[in-house]
Amino acid sequence: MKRAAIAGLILLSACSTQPPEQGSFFRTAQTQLSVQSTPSGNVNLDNRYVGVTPLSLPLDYEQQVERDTTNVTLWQTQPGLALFLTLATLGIYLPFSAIPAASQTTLTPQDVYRHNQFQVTVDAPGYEQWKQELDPKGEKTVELQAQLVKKSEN
Amino acid sequence: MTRFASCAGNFALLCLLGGLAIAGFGCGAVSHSAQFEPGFVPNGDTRIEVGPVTNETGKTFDADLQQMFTDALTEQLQKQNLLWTQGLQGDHLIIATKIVEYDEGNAFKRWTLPGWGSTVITLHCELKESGSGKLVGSVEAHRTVSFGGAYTIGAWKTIFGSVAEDVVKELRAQIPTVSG
Repeated sequence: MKRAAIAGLILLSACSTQPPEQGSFFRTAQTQLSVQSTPSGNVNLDNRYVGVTPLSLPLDYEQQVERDTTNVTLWQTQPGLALFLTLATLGIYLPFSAIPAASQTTLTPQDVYRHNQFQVTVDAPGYEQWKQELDPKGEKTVELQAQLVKKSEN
Repeated sequence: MTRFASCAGNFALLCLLGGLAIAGFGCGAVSHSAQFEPGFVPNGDTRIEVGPVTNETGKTFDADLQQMFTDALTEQLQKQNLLWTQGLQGDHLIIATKIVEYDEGNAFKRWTLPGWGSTVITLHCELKESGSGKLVGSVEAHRTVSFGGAYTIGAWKTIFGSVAEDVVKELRAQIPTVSG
């Protein structure tokens, strides 16, 4: 019995000292861009024609998400099952229930973005090109009002 | 002495029953959640196309994780009558999946010590409208097989079906069923 108890304690301590596992990945973030101008003009996004003002389009880029995985006991993830096992085994499971037999993963978005540099240009005949650099960071919408200036007569 | 032997015998029987209950009860953690844009209201005939599945774990595996999840998700969507297939008219949603955590685990380790050799999978899915490309929602799902008996052999594969079911359950909750 003593040997079994000592072995149990060793196993418990070995499990409870497991460090949490971390990692990260990038998820898609999106900002709805709307562009307006007077007069109406052709809109290019990163030198690619996307339409005529007024227009609305989604900008896709990426946001970092931190992943933390920790080992937890069944009491934390499935307390009902832990209780059932304790009752079903007439309490024998109880000391073993301290073993972190399950894992929990939390995903936390970070303020780290990539591929979020965009250049928007608006061209209308007889007007100077209007240009704007954008670096969205999780905003739902960005509204641009292009100020088109007439080309000089010279 | 006889009484002691009887007590010891009962205790051994209880231990055996307890051990069998724990070992035979293959289980682990299950969690899944979905977030949708406040203005997103899908109608009953919304269908979902299985988009790209990518391995974002930072590890490489012998098994083709992407194909296994693609197959599992296709099967579950089909079961729920939510699968979009080529030729169907109208806009639909495209689901792109990132496998952000995967550990195939080991059934023998699980049997030896609960929590050791767990099979683990965590997914992040993104849903976009096919026409506009607008991101309308995301689903996160996490599943483990942390302990259990011999029948958890193969959990490294079957966990894909289970987690795909979790994802589709979240989608089904958002998309109303069309009766008739």
